[in-house]
Amino acid sequence: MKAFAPRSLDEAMVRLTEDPDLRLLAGCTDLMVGEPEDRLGLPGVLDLRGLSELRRIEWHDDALEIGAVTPFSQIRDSPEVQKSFPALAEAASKIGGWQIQNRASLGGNMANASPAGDSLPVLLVLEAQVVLVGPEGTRTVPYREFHLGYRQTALGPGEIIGWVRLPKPPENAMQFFRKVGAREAQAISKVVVALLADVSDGRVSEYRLAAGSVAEVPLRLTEVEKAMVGRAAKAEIANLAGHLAAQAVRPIDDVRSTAEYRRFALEQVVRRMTLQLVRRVPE
Amino acid sequence: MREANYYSRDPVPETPEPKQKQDPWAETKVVGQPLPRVDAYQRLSGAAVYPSDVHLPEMLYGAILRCPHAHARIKSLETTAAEQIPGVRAVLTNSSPGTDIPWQPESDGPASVLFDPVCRFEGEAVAAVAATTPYQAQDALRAMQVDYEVLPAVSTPQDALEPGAPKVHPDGNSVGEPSTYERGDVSAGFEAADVVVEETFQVPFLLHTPMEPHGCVARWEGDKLTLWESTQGVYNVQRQVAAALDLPLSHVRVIGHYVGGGFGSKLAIGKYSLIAALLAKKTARPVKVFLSREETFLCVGNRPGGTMRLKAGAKRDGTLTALDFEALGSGGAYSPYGTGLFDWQIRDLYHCRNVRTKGRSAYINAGEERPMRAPGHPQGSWALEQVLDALAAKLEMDPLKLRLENLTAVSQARGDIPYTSTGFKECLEEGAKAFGWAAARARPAADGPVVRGVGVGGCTWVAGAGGPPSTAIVKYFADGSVNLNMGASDIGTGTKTVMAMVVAEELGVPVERIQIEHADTGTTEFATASGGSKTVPTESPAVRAAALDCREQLLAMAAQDLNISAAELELEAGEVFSTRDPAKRLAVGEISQFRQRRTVVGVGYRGPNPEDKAVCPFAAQFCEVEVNKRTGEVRVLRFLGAHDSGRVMSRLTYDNQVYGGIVMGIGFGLTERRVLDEKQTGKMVNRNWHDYKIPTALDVPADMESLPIEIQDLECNTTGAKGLGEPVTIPTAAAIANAVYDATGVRVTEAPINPTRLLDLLAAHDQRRA
Repeated sequence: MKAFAPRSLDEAMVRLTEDPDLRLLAGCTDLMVGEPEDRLGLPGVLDLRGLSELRRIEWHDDALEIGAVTPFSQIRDSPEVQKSFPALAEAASKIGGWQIQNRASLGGNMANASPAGDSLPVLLVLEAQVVLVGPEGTRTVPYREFHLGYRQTALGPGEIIGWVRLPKPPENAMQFFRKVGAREAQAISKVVVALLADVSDGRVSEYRLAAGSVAEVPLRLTEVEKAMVGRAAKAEIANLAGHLAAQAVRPIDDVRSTAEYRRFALEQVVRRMTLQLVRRVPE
Repeated sequence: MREANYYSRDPVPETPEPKQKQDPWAETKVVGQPLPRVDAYQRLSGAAVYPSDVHLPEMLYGAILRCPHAHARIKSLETTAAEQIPGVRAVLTNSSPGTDIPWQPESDGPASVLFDPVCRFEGEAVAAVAATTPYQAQDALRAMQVDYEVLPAVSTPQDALEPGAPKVHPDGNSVGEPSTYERGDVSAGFEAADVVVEETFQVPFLLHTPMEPHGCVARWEGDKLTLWESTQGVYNVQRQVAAALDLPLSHVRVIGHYVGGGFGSKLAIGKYSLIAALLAKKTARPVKVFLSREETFLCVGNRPGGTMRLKAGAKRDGTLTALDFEALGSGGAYSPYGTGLFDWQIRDLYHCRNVRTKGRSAYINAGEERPMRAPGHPQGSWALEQVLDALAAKLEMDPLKLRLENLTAVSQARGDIPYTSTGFKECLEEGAKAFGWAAARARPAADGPVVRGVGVGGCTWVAGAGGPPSTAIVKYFADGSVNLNMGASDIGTGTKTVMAMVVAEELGVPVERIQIEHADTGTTEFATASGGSKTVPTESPAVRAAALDCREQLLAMAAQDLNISAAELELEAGEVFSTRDPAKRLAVGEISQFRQRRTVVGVGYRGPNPEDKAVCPFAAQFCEVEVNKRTGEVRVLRFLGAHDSGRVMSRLTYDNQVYGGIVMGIGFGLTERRVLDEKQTGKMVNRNWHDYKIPTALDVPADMESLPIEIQDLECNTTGAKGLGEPVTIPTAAAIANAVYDATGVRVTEAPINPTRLLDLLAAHDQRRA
C-alpha cells in the first residue's frame, strides 16, 4: 500500500492528481477503529496532518477560518472559538474523549459524513462555508449543501476539504449545544442538538436549529425555525418548539437508542434550550 | 448454588500450622499506613513487563480462528491456502496430532475438546496458526476455508427452556435439577407478615473487560515448558496445563509477575494457553498468543445475567418474617453455574428465620461464564436491596432503619455459627452519619425536572476469609535487606505492597529494602489463585509467620552473643537490643553466627481458620443521584463506601479498591450489558469497548469517599484482615436504583437503568398519580 505524507498543500494536490483514489487521512479516529477489511482494501493513503495551511484558526474578513485538519482539542481551547462560537467550542469538548479530541478534526468529521457527527449540527446553525481545494483551484460550498446523504458528501474527485469559514454570528445571539449519549464521554450521540437564536424587542428575531442522529444526515429544522421567528419570547413557545422539532425528524432504532427515545429527548432538549433563550439564561 | 471456594475447584492441601506464636498486633508502625505501591514506578513508567510485553528471540505469533456463528457444525476445514502464506510455520486443527485434548475436565459442565467440531458459541476455537508476524498469522486465518452448517441458536435462559428450543447439547439445555435452599417455614413466615412485597428483577450479562487481554507466551526447553501468562494464579495454570498436556507439574513453569486486570476471568487457563504450548512444540520456537479485545468479549468469561423474583414479608416494626427467592440464569454454553451464589445475600445478610431459594440454569449459545468480582452477589443484591427499600416504603420507614432492624451476629446460611466479627451495623450507622443520610432524606422534594435522591445498599461476601494453604519464605541478608518469596499474584490490588509492609512491620526493615519474588511456579512457593477477596487474608498471616521465624532465629543468635535470654530481645532498625537493659544492644551485622551464615531464612505457613465460626466482610454503600426527568438521564453525584474488612493493611490500596469497586458497580447500574442478537443470529453486537459502555472518568463522581470500619478481629487470622476486593462492588448498583426511587418514586427493576425505560416508567408513574 502506498502512503504519502505531503508537507504542503501543493504537494498534496500533485499526489492526489496523480492518484485520485488515494484515501485522505486526518486524525484516523474513524478509519483505524473500523473493520480491518475497510483498511485492507485501500489503494493508498494521503496523510493531510502535516499541512500547516489546513491546520489553523484565524480571522479573514468577517469570518473565522478553521483548517480541516485542526484537531478538536485546538478548537476547544481556542479563545477565538470560545468567544464567538461557544457552541462549537462546547461540541469540540464533547467529542469522544481527550485522546480523540487530540487527533480528530473538523474536516474529518465533515468528510466522514456520519449522521451522528457531533460538530455537524453546529456547522449547520453557524451557516458554515466549506472551502474545497481541487486541481482547478478552490470552490466554496455552504455546509448544508455539502453533506448530501448517509456518508455522502459533495467532495469531488481530486478535491480536499481545505477549511471552513464561520461568518461572524449576529451580535448578542445565544448559542446552545447539547449531546445526549450513553455516558459522559466516548459515546456516539443518541441525539445531538445545536441552536443559535436571539430575541429582540420581546420577539424571537433569530432561530437556527439543527440536530444530529435523528435522520440519515444532520438536519436544519427549518419548520421549527419558521414557526419560532417573530413569536413573542414567552415560556409557552418552548413547548411548541420541542413539539415541532420532534415532528420534523425521522430517527431510527439502533444499538444505541430507540427512535422513540431520540424523538423524545430531542423534544425535551429543544424545549429546554428555548426556555433558556426566552429567559436569557445562558447554559 | 455454588459454594464459597469458587476460586479453586479442586480440594486444596493444607499447609502445616505455623509454629510461631503470633499475638494479634496491638499497634502497628507500618501496616495501615498509606504507602505508595512498591511497584508504582514500574507500573506508571511502563517499565513493568506484563506477560503481553514478553518478547523472546525467534518468537512466533499465534492466532486463533474463531467460529463466527452462535451455533454451527464444522462440515469441512481447508487449511492448504493458509499454510502457503509466507511466514506461516504451523497450523493446528482438530485433525492435528496432539490436539485431542479434553477441555475443562475439572468443570462440572458438559465435555468438550480443544477443537470441538460443534461450535456452541460465537468465538469458539476452530483452528490456530503460528507465523513470523502477527499480520501473517491474521492473513492465514483469513485464508482458511471453513464450511459451517449453521444451526439454530438460543440466546436467553428463558428461550432455552421453552419446549422445542434449539438444543445446545444433545441432552438439552437444562443443567439439571434446580439448586434449592430452605430454612424455617416460609408460608408461616408470610402469614405472620404485616406487609409483603414481591418484585421481578432482570440483570444483564456483563463482561470483565480487563485492560490487558488474555494470553501467554510459551517456550519449550526439551520437555520442559515455560509459560508467561496473564493470570490470577500461576499454580492454577500449572496444574491445568500439566494435566492437559500430560506433563509432570515440575516441568511446567508458569510466570505471571504482572497482570493487567482479571476480575475473575483469569482464574483459569484458556484454550489459548494450550494452543500456544502446542504451537511452540510444533514449531520449536517460542509462541505468543494474545487475544484481541473482541475475542475477550466472546470467549473468556462473563457474569451471568437472568431474571429473579423475590418476595419478602415483614412485621409492622420492620422485622423480616420470610424471604422467597427464585432465579433463572445461564452460565453460557458450558458452565452449569448460571445462578451460582445469586441467593447468598438473601440467605445470609439479614436476620430472617424463614428463607427459601431456588436457582435454575440453562445452557445457551454464548460464551461460558467465569467468576466475576463477587460471583452472583451483585445480582442478588440488585433484588434484595431493592425489595428491602420497597418494604421500607410500604412500612413508611427509613430504609436505613429497616436494615438496622434486621441485623444478625450469626451466619444463618451456615447453620447459625457466629461471625468472628461483623461491623455491618457500624457500616450502616457510621456510613450514614458520614454521608449525611438523615439530612439528605429530610430535604424537601424538588419540583423541577431535575430531581435528586439518595440510596443505600448493604452486603456481605461469602468468601473473604482466606485460608490455607500458603507458604512464604523470608530471607534476611547480611546487610539487613530482605527477600520475600511467595507464589501469589498481585492482580493490581497491591498484594506485593501489603506483604512488604507485613515484613517491614515484623523485621523493622524499610519497605524499600524488601525485594519480592512472586507468581512463578518455578521459583516461588505454592499459593492459590488471587481471587475471592482472599489474597490478603490468605497470604499476610503466612508472610507474617515467615518474618517471625526469621526474627526468632536472629534473636536466638544474638542472645548467644549477648548472653541473655532471647525472650527479652527486640529487633528494630537493624539492631537487636534488650528490652530490660537497652544498653545491651548489637547491630544485626555484628551477630557472630549471622556473620558466618550470611542469610537467615524464615518459613511461614498459613494456619487454619477458626472452627465453627464464619469470617466475612460487610459493607454499606450510600449514594446520591440526579435524575433528569425530561431525558431519563441519571448522574451519580456522590458515593460513600463504608466497609468492614477487618484491619486496614494499606490505606491507599484499600481506598483504591473501594473506588474501583464503586466504578464497576456504576457500570452495572447504569450502562453495561452484553447485547446478543437474540431474535436472529445470536451473535454479540457490542463486542468492543466502544459499544459496551463501561463508565468513563466523567461518568463517576469526583466525590467518592472510602470510610473504613476497622473492627478489630482477633480470631479471623493473625493479621486481622478480611477480604475487600469484592464487597466493594456488591451493593453499588442497588444503591443507585434505590436513589433513583428516592428521587422519582419509580422503581427500576431492570439493570442497567436505561433512560428510555426510565422515561416510560416515569410517564406511567405520573399517570397513576394523576
